[in-house]
Amino acid sequence: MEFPTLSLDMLFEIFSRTSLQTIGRCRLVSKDLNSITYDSNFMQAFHQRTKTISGFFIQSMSQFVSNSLTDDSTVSLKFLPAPVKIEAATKQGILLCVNKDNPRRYRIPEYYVCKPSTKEWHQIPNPKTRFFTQRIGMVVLRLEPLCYKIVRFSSPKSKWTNYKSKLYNTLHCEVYSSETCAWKRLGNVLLPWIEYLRWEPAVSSCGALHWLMTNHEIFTFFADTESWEIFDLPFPLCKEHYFKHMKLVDYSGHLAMLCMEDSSMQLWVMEDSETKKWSKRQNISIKAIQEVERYPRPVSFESSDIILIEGFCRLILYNFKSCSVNVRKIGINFDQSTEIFPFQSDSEPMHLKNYWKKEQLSTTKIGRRNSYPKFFGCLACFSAIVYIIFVCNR
Amino acid sequence: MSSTLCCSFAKNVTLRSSDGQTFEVEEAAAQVSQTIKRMIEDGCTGSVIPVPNLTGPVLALVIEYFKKHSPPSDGCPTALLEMEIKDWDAKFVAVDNDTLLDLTLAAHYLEIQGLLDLTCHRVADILNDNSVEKIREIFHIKNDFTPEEEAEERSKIQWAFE
Repeated sequence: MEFPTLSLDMLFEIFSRTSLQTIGRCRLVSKDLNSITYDSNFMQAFHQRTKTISGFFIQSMSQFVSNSLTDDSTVSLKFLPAPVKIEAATKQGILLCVNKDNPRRYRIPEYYVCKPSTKEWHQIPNPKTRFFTQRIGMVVLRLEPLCYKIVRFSSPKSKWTNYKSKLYNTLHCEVYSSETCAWKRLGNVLLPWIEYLRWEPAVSSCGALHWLMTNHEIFTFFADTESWEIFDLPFPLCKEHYFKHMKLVDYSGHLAMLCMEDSSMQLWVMEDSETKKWSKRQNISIKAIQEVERYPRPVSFESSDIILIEGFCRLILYNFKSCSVNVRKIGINFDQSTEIFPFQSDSEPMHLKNYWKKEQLSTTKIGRRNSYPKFFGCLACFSAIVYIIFVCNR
Repeated sequence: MSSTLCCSFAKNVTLRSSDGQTFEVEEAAAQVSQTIKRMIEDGCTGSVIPVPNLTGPVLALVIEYFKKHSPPSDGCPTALLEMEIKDWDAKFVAVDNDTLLDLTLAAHYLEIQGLLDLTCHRVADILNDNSVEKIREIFHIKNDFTPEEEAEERSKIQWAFE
């Protein structure tokens, strides 16, 4: 039977009632459906119909700013056992936080993985906290069952490495996997001499975390293979003072760059993550923004046609297709160190539990009990060998 | 004589499907559909209202929905009645995928918000449990990604798979 294909309107109606996971999957169905699901109209309908929240966490205030005009106070981090600093956020609704005041007082931080929409949290083991955290990032690999990885870069005691008679900046690298519930030390990361990862939350795309470096190269950490690479950007993205502001962003799942000029903004998109081919997609006029804000800086994409812009004590949601501007006043001024984390979450329970504590305790106890006899056995063998050699020599 | 007959049946309208089947339904019930309501207001009552986008079996189902969801004649609906309608709705959309999509299209064309919500929810629930290939099959959508593009897209949404 010939079946009439459904119009995009109908697909809109149907898919805006599904779940975050289904939206993810349906991006693979066809190109049309893929582009609908990144559109702001669709996202708005989807968020309303499925009670999904979408917005931004602002670091210095631990405040959530919603994209819709409904109440922002619905999401807070007050359910956690201590005041926290956000370390990483994902678009699948999971946050990584560390308690804010304790490190100075007790020296020992506590790391929480939480889902703010359902107020679920669990504490994870600590990484090697004698090294100070430089950057931290988190990737959700699967939602059902929840599987995530956290990567942490910290500065070792000796910050420089001499490798093949060249000096490098060194970073310790540790990975936490939710499957093993443990941190694993990887080989050191070598960055070019005096270059750093920029002070911005990592951009997650294609299961990898990306940071812009101070020399305008991109540092990428692949969560699945636990490997990293550094790659160049094409001209003019590689030039430091070519644009007023540059921001690495996630655009419809692609890694992209928003470059601010005097009267417009350029959108560059990495079309293929294998070949690292970039192309300039669009010139976006910023006249409408300049009418309300003198020093706008791009932050991220809210959907494929809305950009979040930060200004003086305010955030601006700018729809560049309709040229409409939605200003949200925020009580603080944004400077370079204010981190803003895009966040999206449904309210399905994740069943996060503090399970690691019990497991961890029991394994360490068993481990200790078993390791003592082994240790003494080894010592006895060793001393016996030394004694025999000593006797023979005489 | 004919005029009195006409008056006594004035509360009924006749709908004709694309394959020529006709159905008689109470005017008040049919007004659940905004499209039919507009047609009635424009004075189509006397003649048969054509519904060219719907086949007979689908129109029959829609009319069943009309009958169940017509505004009660004796005033406010009770909680018990609402429960009953909810149960009935759940059974009503427990049909095969193609019929469900036909019903969704019908609801969209006839502008029946209640039925549209109901069917879209049901389809969405089905989609939540299905794979990408199955979703394409349900909607009869052709995959227009090249293998390279599909691999790229798949790597972006790896988290959404089980």
